Amino acid sequence: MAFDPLEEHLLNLTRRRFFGKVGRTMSSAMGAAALTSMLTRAAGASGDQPRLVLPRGPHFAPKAKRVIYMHMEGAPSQLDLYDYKPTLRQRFNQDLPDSIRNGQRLTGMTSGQTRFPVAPSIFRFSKYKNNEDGVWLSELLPHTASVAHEICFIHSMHTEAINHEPGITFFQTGTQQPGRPSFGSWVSYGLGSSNANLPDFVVLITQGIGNMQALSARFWGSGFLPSEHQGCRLRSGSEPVLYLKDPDGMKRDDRRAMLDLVSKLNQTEFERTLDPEIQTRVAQAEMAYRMQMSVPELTDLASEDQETLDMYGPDVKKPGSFAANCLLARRLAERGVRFIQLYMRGWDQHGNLPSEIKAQTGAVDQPQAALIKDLRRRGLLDETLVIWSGEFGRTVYSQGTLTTENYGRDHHPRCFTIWLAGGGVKPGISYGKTDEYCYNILENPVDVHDLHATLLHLLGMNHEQLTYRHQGRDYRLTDVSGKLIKPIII
Amino acid sequence: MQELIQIFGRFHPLVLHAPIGMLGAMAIIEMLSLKRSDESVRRVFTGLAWLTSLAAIVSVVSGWVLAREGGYDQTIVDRHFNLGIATAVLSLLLAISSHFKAHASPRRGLLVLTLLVLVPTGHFGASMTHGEDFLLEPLANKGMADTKHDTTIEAAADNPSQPMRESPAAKVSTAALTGNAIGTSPLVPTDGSDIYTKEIAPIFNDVCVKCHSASKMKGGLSLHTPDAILLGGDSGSALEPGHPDDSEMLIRIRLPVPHKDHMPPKGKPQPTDAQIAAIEAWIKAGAPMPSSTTSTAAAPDHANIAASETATPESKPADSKATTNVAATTKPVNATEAKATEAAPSNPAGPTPASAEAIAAIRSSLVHVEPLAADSTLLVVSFNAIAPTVDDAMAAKLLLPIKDNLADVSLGRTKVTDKIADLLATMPRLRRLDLRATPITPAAINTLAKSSSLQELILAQTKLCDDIAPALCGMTSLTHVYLWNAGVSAQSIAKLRTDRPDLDVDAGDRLVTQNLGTEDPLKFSSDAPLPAVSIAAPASLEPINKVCPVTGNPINPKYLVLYDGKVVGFCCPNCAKDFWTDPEACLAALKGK
Repeated sequence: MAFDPLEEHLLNLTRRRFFGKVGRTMSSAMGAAALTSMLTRAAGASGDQPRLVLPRGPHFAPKAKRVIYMHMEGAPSQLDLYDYKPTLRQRFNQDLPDSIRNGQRLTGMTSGQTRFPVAPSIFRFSKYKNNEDGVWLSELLPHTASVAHEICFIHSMHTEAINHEPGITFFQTGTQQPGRPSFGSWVSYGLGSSNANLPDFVVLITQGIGNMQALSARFWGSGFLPSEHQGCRLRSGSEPVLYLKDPDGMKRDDRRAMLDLVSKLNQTEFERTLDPEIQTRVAQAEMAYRMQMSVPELTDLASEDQETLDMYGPDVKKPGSFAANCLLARRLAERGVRFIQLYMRGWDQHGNLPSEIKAQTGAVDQPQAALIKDLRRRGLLDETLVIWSGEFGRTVYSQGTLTTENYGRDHHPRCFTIWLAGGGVKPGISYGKTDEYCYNILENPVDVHDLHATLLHLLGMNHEQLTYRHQGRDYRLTDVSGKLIKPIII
Repeated sequence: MQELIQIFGRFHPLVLHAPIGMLGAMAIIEMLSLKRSDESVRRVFTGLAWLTSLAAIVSVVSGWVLAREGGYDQTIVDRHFNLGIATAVLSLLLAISSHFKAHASPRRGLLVLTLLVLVPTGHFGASMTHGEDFLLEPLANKGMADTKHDTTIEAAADNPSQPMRESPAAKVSTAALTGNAIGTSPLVPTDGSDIYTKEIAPIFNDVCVKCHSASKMKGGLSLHTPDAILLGGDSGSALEPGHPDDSEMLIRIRLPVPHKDHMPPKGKPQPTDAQIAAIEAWIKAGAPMPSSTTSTAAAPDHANIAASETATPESKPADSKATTNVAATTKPVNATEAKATEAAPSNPAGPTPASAEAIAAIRSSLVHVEPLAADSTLLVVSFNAIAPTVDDAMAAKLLLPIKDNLADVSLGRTKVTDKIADLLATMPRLRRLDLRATPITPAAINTLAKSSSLQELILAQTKLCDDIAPALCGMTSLTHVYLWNAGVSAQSIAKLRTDRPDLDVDAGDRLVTQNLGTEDPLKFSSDAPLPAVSIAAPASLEPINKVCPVTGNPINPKYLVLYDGKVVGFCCPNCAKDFWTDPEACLAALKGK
């Protein structure tokens, strides 16, 4: 922790007193986590405990109370979905001009190619009414198109990473190196829980159809933040959280008595070692105890009417499908969970892109549109920030053989499209512009730090003030950069 | 006869002091006669020893009778009983040895042994009557005084060295006012109150009032009169008439005995199962009690006390920090809040901070509350976590004390009915209200129409009807209303949209974006001319430079860039990137090198 032993000692003294209070309250009948956040908030507000590992609440009035982040793992092709480039149809199989490529570094997968033939999208686009002069969207997304008036498309997103692991790590943690806290963990740390019976940060994963890259649990890890802020993955199937159920024959009273005893022992150990992870452990045991009741209620779809289920599509009853996870995301959102992270795997279409992307969009299009409609009519969309993004885009040139029926696309970090909806983002607009080849950004570039800064702003937090001291310096999600994208905020 | 035996048992605490005193006297005699012992001293000693053993045996028997009454911690009772028998046996041996042996040493040895056994015997006995750490408690309190936290149950009242932070009377306010606020008086007794007098009061007298009476009000709670029971304690009302499962009193009685919050505490006499069942039945029946003259008159006074307490600053800064005074200042800090304040002409200066106690009460119910912003006094409350269990009484109880501070209340999916609307309509700064999927009726909307601050109202998935349209139309402050599946017909919604063009009526019917046209069937060609930038073929693939034009370091053949027909080398990819910001200047610099 701190380098100076004396400083560390003094720090411990104040922390000991502080946690002493927490501990005493914790053993009462009330939930430990709720109290931790209650006491910590007070400490944060008083300003004299800057290093406490504690949620502090919004800095200013938030537009969004929570986030649903749909990450398309593998990087979907912006050219075939969102970024309409009609003139490329007349450049079929032409070589990509070097003036456009501009010395861009390539992945090992295409750097050996002798030529870079332009592959226009073979999907037809349609124009949909929005709050500007309309937005063009691919025929692959008919349902998403039906909510285009709710969506803010950012066509000028760019990133530094050129491969999946560092790319996702950059989007999730603000740096390409593993080890920093995930975006969801920062939100949990910054805002605290708004449902004491469920985790602040929930992760839902859908297996895709195509080429699937590794999806490490560290993408939702809390890094150096206390581990209570890490994402909790809900599995599909009958047991959303492993080992949550009491064994047969164990009564809830017995479990309570056991937890009380264990937390007493933990408290003694904590007073001896002052390790905050012990407090986390106690809080998590309490959370698990409450989740024994709250998770079955969450995953029981009996209260959903048929019309709603139909809206999410035929897969909605299939555990782990994107439809089921979108519905679960809405149920989590209406229960006040702060950060809901959805992963859809399988977008890494280096070859056979047309057939694979059809399968992928077939799985996500209807559910993601249904999620927006469902949030909207329940009055939740205005306070729920929905994000749809991959870790980078895909190239305009074909990887492998190019025909008018088939092609592949390599990784492209220089420009790609993501979209946002609800939560204080201007609905029905497009932001940023790419060149004719969808290779470089022409105006309003948005980098990952800018996006993070903007998202935190919508959640009521100043990205420069949301810090955590670790190894002698204050860390931020946005590291040393990040500027607000004001034009997309209401 | 049974009663006489019981009384004999209750003489135990009296009788047991006789052997203790006499053993002490024997010790003194023995010490005084250490040097010069004579026959008369031994005779006095022997007499005392016989009396001691008699008293000890009587103590053991009476103690056994008393223990049969039950209610004590069985482990401690067993230890005390065994040690008591040991004491009696030892004192008997002492008497025998003193009677028959003139020699002093066995007598002295036995006396020391008896005294040694007496100490733990007394300790365990006293643990049962006075509590386990009675003797050293003041010391422990001294050590804990600076860290003690008053939301721990009983903490403030438990500790005689600390003044109680809140007068017991003030604690009343929530329960008393709740009844008034929602327009009914659930706590006012009606009939059947003799059940209380005949059945319940004796149980309370048996097991509760030793610690919960006017003289010893642990946890701020006393149970010696109906009024006192209604007042509740530090953690709110002691019982919810008609809802035994929600009644604090019964919840605690039912907790496992070793649990910290179990009542009566471990080691104290416990109620029998029949008694618990009686209390449950009584609460279920609405907790009828004899009406009193003071209860109704007292409530307003309590309210005043509560109000003045919340208005005065915390007396102990250290404590106020710990109890989460989330709302620290009174000045509005941003546009949103300013707007909310404007909409509340009754108090233009902004609300005073909500009381820490009220916020702690909300949080302890697992209801979410947070300030609108870091330094705002306005609050956002959400019942999401426990929505299916929330009813009018609970919502009113938690919201009433902070009603002036509320800007955003989410009651979606709860069981609240029209009753809560009375309270919601009087919240001067309430901007956003979520009543989605609640059993409210049109009457609630008519009540809410009185609110002059409400901007966003979520009524989706309710059983309302067209009658609410005029009320909504009349709410001038309203900007958004959600009416999906709310029982309001399409005609009414259309009319509402015409009548109030400034009101955004979201009925779930405007979800589909219009398609403005699709592009023509696709044709692919490679006819288009290449971009205007001409690409000169490089004369050679050898880089024209040996050192990086940006840093001056040797170039790395991996990082080459084609520019203007020339291949330029760099030391690293970052330099290649920098090159493109101004290629000409870079090449000029290269020439300079």
